[in-house]
Amino acid sequence: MSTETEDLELRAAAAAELLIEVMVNEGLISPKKRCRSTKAVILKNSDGAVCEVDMTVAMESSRIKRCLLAGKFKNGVIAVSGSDTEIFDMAIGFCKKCVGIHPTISWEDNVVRDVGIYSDDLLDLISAANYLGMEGLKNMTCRKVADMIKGLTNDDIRELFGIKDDLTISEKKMIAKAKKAEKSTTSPFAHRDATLS
Amino acid sequence: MGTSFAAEEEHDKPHGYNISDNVDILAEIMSRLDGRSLGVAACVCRVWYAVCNRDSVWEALCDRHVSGGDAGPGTRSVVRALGGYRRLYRLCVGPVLDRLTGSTGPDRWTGARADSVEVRGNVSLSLSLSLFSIDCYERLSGGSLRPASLLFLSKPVDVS
Repeated sequence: MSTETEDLELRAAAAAELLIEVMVNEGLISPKKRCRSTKAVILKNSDGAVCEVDMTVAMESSRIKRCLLAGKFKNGVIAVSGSDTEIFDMAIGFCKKCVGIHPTISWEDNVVRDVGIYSDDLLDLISAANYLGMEGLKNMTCRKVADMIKGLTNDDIRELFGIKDDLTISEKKMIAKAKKAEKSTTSPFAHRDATLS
Repeated sequence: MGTSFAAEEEHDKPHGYNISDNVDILAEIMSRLDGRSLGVAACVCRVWYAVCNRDSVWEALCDRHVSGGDAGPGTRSVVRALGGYRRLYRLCVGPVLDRLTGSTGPDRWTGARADSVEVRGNVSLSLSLSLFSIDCYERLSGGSLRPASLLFLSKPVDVS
């Protein structure tokens, strides 16, 4: 685990060296909170809220990493659009927990369970993770939704997600027929059933 | 948590946006489902039907259960040439997994609530590709006869 942390710090240090002439954050960091890394980056989301994170935390997001390495920001502020403040904070909070620590099942309990049952929040979190390129968070949130879907019937799924059933009767018949055909080819009596039907 | 008030307000109004709006996210979620649930999900609505038929979703499912060998672009092109990941799962990986875990065939498509634990078996890559190529060969050379060589996977054949 120590080598992983060292790798992260080396990566963060390398990125910082490339962009050091435009990093203006060191004066804003309170020494009490940032004891390990002095390089931080300010992220601004579409609501205008500003969040300051350690470089190593920000590097968890592949999109932010690309921006940093490509130099796409002004005055040390990276604009991260597409997520509101709460969800954004949740995603960044997850990154902070993940840095230097191998994500285990317990993080799923702690972070993703906060969102609880299926809700817009969970969906927003998936979008944020997808947009920011946080693989670990995306994996956990998608798995959570997938676990909700497993074992449900069609009607239950529609009710859970508020989906309108827009398949026509003929389309449903077609799907059922295709399924039946698939089912019969895997049965040893396929040829007998084929002649009967 | 301070988010409880905001969460209550959001639950009062209808869903902000639907899960079906972003098909890429839907595909990500579906690629974490098992074979039975994918079959059920395909009947929910048109968008879900389209996403469930994406080969990438079945590819993710197969990758979870197929071990040994590199599941890289080389494997992908072979599977696609032989008929696609969906067919691979339906004919080879699915039946073998069912046999490994002891689940029976008939309730594969009923969508009944699965009380059993998530399927954790593994099929070797070489075995699944060999079986799949048998099916492909049969389809190419079979004519009017329906491919039947892989039926033994679903039901054991009594050879006594």
